[in-house]
Amino acid sequence: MVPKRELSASDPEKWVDEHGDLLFRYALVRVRDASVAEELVQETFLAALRSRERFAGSSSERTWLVGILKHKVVDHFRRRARELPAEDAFGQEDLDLFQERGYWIHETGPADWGAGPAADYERTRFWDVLGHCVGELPPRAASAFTLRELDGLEAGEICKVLGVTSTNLWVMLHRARAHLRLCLEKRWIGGGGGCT
Amino acid sequence: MHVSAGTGGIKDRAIDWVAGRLPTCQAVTRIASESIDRTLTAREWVRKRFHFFFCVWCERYERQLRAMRSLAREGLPDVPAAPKLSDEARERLKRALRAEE
Repeated sequence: MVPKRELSASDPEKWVDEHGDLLFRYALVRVRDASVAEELVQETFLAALRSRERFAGSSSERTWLVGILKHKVVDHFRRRARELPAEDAFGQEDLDLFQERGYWIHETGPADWGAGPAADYERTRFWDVLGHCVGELPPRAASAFTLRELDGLEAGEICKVLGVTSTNLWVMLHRARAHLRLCLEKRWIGGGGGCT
Repeated sequence: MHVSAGTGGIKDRAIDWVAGRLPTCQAVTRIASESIDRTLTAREWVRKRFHFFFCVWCERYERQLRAMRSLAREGLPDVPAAPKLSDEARERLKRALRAEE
């Protein structure tokens, strides 16, 4: 195993053929823009090239590259957060699900999603719809959701990346999830809602 | 404070009093969201569990938030139709690597 790793780590152009698509997809579902995703993949390969000697071969080459890309994606969100206005503007419609007194309105209570998707095509469709739904969120909330749910970053880290307080973050995540849950239910599950 | 004229008034007000102290779905969905990010306080936990006891929708809501997370963390399945680098993009990347080497 070890000689093979050394061989491919010393042949960067092969990286593109062997790992390019995977890295591209990893970036694409996070930044939802093909040209930005390609840019991040390029930065990753160049950073890998520069630190090639430090690649110990203790992990697989792919894990090593994904690790670099993960940092590049976080940096991308950090840069973007600096350009955004301080406050995220959410629409009101997600909260209109509740009656005046704060309870679910009968027709809008969460629908039964069934056992959840197992087949690849259902999961592929989940990602298509999720991408669309995340695109409807205010940008900072979209970043918060991505960092938390896709990358599993801890809250404290996300606050630093996005420059928000933890209270801000909880509210943003709550509203983002409320929107995404409803959006997925409409477009992916396709159920009308209500009771089962 | 005044004493109610009839039992109906007391009953109505008792219901209002209890309802006013139960967390609403709106409040519980927020607690449900935070429960997957941090440890709840004992008070929040009790409020949520108590509410779930009566409200299948909010319980389902939290289950769906967890389902969204686990699907998101599984990542995009590697199927033939999954997005790929275009040939041009592939060439651009190789050129950039050659230039740097």
